[in-house]
Amino acid sequence: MKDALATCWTVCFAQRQATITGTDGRLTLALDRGERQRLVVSDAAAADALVATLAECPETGLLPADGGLPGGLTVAENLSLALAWDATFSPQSFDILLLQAFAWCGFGQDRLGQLGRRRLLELSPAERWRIGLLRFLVRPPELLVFDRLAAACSLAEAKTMAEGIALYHAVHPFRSSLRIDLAGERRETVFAEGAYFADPGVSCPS
Amino acid sequence: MNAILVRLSGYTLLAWATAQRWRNARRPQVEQAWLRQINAVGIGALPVASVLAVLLGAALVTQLTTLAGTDSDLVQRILFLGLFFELAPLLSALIVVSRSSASIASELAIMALHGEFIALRRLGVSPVDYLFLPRILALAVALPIITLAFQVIAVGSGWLAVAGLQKLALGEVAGRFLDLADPLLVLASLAKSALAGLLIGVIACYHGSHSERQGARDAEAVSAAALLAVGNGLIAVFAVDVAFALLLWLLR
Repeated sequence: MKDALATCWTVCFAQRQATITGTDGRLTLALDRGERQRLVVSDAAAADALVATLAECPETGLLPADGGLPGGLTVAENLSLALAWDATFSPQSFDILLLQAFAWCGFGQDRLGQLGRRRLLELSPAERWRIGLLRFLVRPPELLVFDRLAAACSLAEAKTMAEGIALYHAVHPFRSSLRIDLAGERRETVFAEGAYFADPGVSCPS
Repeated sequence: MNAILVRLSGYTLLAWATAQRWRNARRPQVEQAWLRQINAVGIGALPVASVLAVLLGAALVTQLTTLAGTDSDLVQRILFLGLFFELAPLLSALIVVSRSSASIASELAIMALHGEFIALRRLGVSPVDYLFLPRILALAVALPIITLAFQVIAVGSGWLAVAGLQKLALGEVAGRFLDLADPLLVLASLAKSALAGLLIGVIACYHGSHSERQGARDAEAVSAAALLAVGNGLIAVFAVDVAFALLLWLLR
């Protein structure tokens, strides 16, 4: 992992690599080798600055602890905006992939029927995060950024998220991800255990 | 004075930004949002507008007959010019301001406070396209429809009152009204409503999306946004009314 004290960041995507530069150093990820890196930031302001910089890059997808989707809109509206706003998908592939992704995220057929018209803020935090993950399972970005997942969540939610991260990499083995954490978060060990670092082929940042 | 100029420039910029993106109204998601808004703003207001129209038509004719006697032509002329052309668009706009302007501003203020505008931008969706454009379009379309319904119901109620009070046949009352009615004024009243609807939408969207910058937080910001939207919406409605009255006076 890389400690980062900077509040000024630059992010560059070139030659199938993402390079994140702060005042303390640089982190480089290859985009199509399924790399999983972790960046530990000392304070919330630095993390906010990094997330804002990453959000401006069209190659990145951001998945924070609240799922990253507008809570006032329904699940159906959110997924329609997230997946079909620019209409590059054909309708058939959209439906098939979406049903598959719902199944992967543990939403059964009976739950699906109720879900579409529910607003995101009416769902539990775990369900809300899984809906956020679901859109990236259907349309994975070049680099998926998990933003401070360990902050202020219960052990059960942390385990759900750790399973979700493992699921993402199982479905998209060549897509890379970056986890941003704050130093000293109490749920770090949940994400450090199990599938996230289980694969010896994953490069663990030093 | 400075605050007024800031607001006027804000309204103008928002209206311009929305107008430039009018083509996005064809996107399926925006179309669905727009139809939902028409249902909420337009169809939802029809019951209230209908009841008010019935009561207003009957009350106006009764008062006129009491004060001005049984001159049917005078009553019909005031029914057309006063009620049909002036009061119906104005009262319809007031109904929409009181129902929808506050609701739109509150909804957008809550979304702004919870960072949902940022979340939308990160989805690659412009809040102008998905939040403002459907609401402004819906108000511009729904208000003339509400006005037309108000006019028809109020005039019908007025006819019934005239026929009852002056002991005339309903057909004769309707015929006299239609002889006096000017089709251009009918179109002008609907145009007035459409413009008022546009302005109500722009003002509500502006105050809802700028709630954080109004210096208050959370519940205060939401209520402040609603109050400003309704207050400034009312001023805009009357300003449009005066503008159309002056325009007609100049044209005639």
